[in-house]
Amino acid sequence: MHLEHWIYTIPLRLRSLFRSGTVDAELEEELEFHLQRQVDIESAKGLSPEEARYAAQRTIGSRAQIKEECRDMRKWNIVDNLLRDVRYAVRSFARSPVFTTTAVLSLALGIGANTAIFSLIDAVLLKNLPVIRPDELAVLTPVSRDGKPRFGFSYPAYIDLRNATHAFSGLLAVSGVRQVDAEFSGGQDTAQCKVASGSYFSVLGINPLRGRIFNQDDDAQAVVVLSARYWKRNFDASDSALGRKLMLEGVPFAIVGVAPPEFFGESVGEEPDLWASMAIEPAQQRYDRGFGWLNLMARLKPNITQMGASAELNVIVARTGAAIAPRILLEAGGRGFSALRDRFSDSLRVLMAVVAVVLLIACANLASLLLARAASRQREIATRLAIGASRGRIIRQLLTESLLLSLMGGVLGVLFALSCGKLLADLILTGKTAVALQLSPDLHMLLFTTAVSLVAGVLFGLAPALQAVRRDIGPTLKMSARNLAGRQHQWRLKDALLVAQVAMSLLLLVAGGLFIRTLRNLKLQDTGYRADKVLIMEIGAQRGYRPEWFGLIVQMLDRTRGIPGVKAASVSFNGTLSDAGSGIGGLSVDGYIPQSAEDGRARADWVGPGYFETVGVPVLAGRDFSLADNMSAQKVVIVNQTMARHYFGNRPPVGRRLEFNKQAYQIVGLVRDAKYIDLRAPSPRLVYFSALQRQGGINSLEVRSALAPLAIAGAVRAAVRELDPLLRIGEVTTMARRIDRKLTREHLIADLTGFFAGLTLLLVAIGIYGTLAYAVAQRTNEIGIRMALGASPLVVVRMILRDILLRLAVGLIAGLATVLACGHALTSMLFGLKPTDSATIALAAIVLIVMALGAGYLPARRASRVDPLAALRFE
Amino acid sequence: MSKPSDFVQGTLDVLVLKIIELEPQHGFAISQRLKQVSGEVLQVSEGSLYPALHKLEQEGWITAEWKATEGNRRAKFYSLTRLGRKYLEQEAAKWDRLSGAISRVLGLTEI
Repeated sequence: MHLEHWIYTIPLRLRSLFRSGTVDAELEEELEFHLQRQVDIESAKGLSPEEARYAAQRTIGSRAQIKEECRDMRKWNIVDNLLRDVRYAVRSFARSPVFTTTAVLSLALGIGANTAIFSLIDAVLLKNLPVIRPDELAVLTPVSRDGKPRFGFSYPAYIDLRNATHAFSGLLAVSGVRQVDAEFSGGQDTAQCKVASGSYFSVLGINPLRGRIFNQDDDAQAVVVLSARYWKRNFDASDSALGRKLMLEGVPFAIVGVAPPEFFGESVGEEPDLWASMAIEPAQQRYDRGFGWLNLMARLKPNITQMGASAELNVIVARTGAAIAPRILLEAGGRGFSALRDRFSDSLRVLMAVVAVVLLIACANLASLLLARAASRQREIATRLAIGASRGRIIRQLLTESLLLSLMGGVLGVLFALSCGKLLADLILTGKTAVALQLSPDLHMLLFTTAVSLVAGVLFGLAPALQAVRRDIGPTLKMSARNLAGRQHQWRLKDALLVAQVAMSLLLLVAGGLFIRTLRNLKLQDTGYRADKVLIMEIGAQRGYRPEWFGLIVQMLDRTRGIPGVKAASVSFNGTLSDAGSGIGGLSVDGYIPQSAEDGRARADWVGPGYFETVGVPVLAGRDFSLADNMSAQKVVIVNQTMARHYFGNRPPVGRRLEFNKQAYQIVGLVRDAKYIDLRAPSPRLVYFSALQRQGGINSLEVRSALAPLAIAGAVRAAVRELDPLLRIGEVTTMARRIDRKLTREHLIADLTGFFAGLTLLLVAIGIYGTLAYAVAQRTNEIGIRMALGASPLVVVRMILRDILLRLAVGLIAGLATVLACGHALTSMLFGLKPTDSATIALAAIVLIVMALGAGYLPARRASRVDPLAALRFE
Repeated sequence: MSKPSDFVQGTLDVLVLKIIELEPQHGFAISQRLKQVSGEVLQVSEGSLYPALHKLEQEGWITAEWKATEGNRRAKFYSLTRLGRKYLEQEAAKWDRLSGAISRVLGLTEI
């Protein structure tokens, strides 16, 4: 039956699809034949040929309608109609290029913004690692007793867990990215290196591109796997690289394999050059239980749930008496570790909300443009309904138009997103180490954009289409086009759209204003340092090298101070405004009775002579450190104001003593509060120790220059190299840049929200202009009459603007209510102001009003210049 | 897409199929035949007939070809396909059962 069915129908369907002209002509002929026969019958009754024809036509009825219904009966009519509708739509777009351009561009901006932010979110927050069965992976996080996550496991802890657990089919350990000096025959460079356990690649399920991956025995071997990128860059992608030696920090490592090119590791945003075996860490550190430096990730056995594994883990932890960690948190690990995710998830979510609002405003624009267009096509639509087109058919055609518009907007939007994607990624990836995100367009992104375009097209095309066919045909046909639009009460949907646009736009303007002012507040706040003209250079000893620090520091400062343009130089352990910090506990202060253990804690740094002069922190009482504060002298400390206030109230701290680690220190100075790691947090209680009284090294050289700080960087670097070639020089930057880097997130969100708020302003302006220009064009006649009856141009302008002002006011009130209702969600991202900051809200409202009046003024002025005679003659 | 409204839905299809079962007919002849055979009781408007014919053709129940009429004018003649014949038999049997049942029920009330 099926086959036979298709034998008859397939040729028919193909014919109606591809030769619709012939099919239509045949239908015409068939109906004409019918008519002729009817005429014959009527003539036989004795009517004249003309009367007979009329009579026959009356019996048959509307031929156009019969034809339309016959067409509907053709099965592939849907495709046929679609093609026809598309052709029709394209023709009508070509006839109104301004409408088309405005609609497509608004949508392209809305969709493009969404696609760009979505691809960023997808890469940072959503995408799984490019590994086998990522859903089986789980991340282990050590947690302290009070539930705070602690950083890293020690190597012995990893071994314990690996041997004791049964729930995992594998457990891997991997370090964070570190920069190492790499030397190979034919060159040397600084490589981004990760230290990985022997199980690393096999747990992730990564097969080598060349050679082999690590195996269990490699923890004790000095072996390294290269990334495909590094292999190409330094070994010309040659197989001969395998088995060759790579010197890492002066230790020879054998190259055993190359990882596949799409593999970037287990952390989103990182792109290591090579993975070294555990042997790179000296045994003394590797077997130190107190040295937590590894991230652990497990692959669960197929039949084990995350909860089951978690239970087993914590039984083991309890049995080992917290030698591993007080508690271990097990979380889904398919998306890998990511510092980026933790840092940016809030900002990205806010941005996604922002671009969603942009899209809504763009769609509202589309809808009001379509409404205006449908109104001006009332007569066309009524005519088509009258001659037999069904309402469904017309709605379908109007929807085809809006879908076509939104798809064009979607395509343009993707192009827009692709060209901006890189820019966006650069905005968020301004970290110290090179970071990489996979932002290439993929299925996720295309699905997302297509879905957004379709929803936009259908949702915002449907209402205007329904409104277009809802009216009675009769009165519409009798009326002139102008009267139609004059019926104000039918414009409720359009009013609602404008009100919603204004409200959403106010919301974005306020958010943009809040973020920009937050950034400004953070930038303008007093960090406590004089940040201009300070060079900061990371310095460290190569692994295994233990210099005699005292002499080295003294000489380093000596040489640096000798460089022309250098005003002051000093060193520190944590590095000024770096991301590193130290804390001390068990502090006791003379004459102070501690209330809790918390009173014995403070943050600390170890700084060199002249440090406060160098970084520009004023010494309020006592003195700065000097060369004399060395191992053989009395142990001294300098405290900040917060520390002094906590322990001594208003009494002077200088000259008092404190005890820490069974060692007494004399307080010799009081310095002003300065920021420590976090620019948003107030300065903590901070104790500065003398770096010259510490066993061990420093990590940072600070130099105050009379010139632009980077201008002397070369000379300082040369001086350090010359002093001791075994010292490693890491990042070279300025204090101003460090501050900027701490504000990456704030920059990202302020820039983008500000940009998008501006964009919506533009969209709303277009919307208002379009609406008003249209209304004025429709009311030219009425305006002419009013002016002929004595209305002044001013009265006309006021009349036109009054409508807009009313909607604007309603929109502003709705927007304000939304701001007040949702603002608190932003609180944690703001600094120095509340989400309901009245100045910001007022400014946003004023900007919006000015812009709306500006957009409304042009059409209103045109209205006021209507020549009454011309307008009256027009109709 | 309005449906033929002057007949119980689906009936028009069967009637058309039945009329062209004997010999191929063009649209006008079908409407005349229907009127004539039913004793002027059933009248089908052109607005229903032609869409119905096109639907039947799309279903593969009837097939059309252009032939000359007695008056030597070109007309589109519809004839039944094998599938159409099968469908007509099914529908006719169904109709018989239904009308028989309805008659019996109505007959009951007359007693």
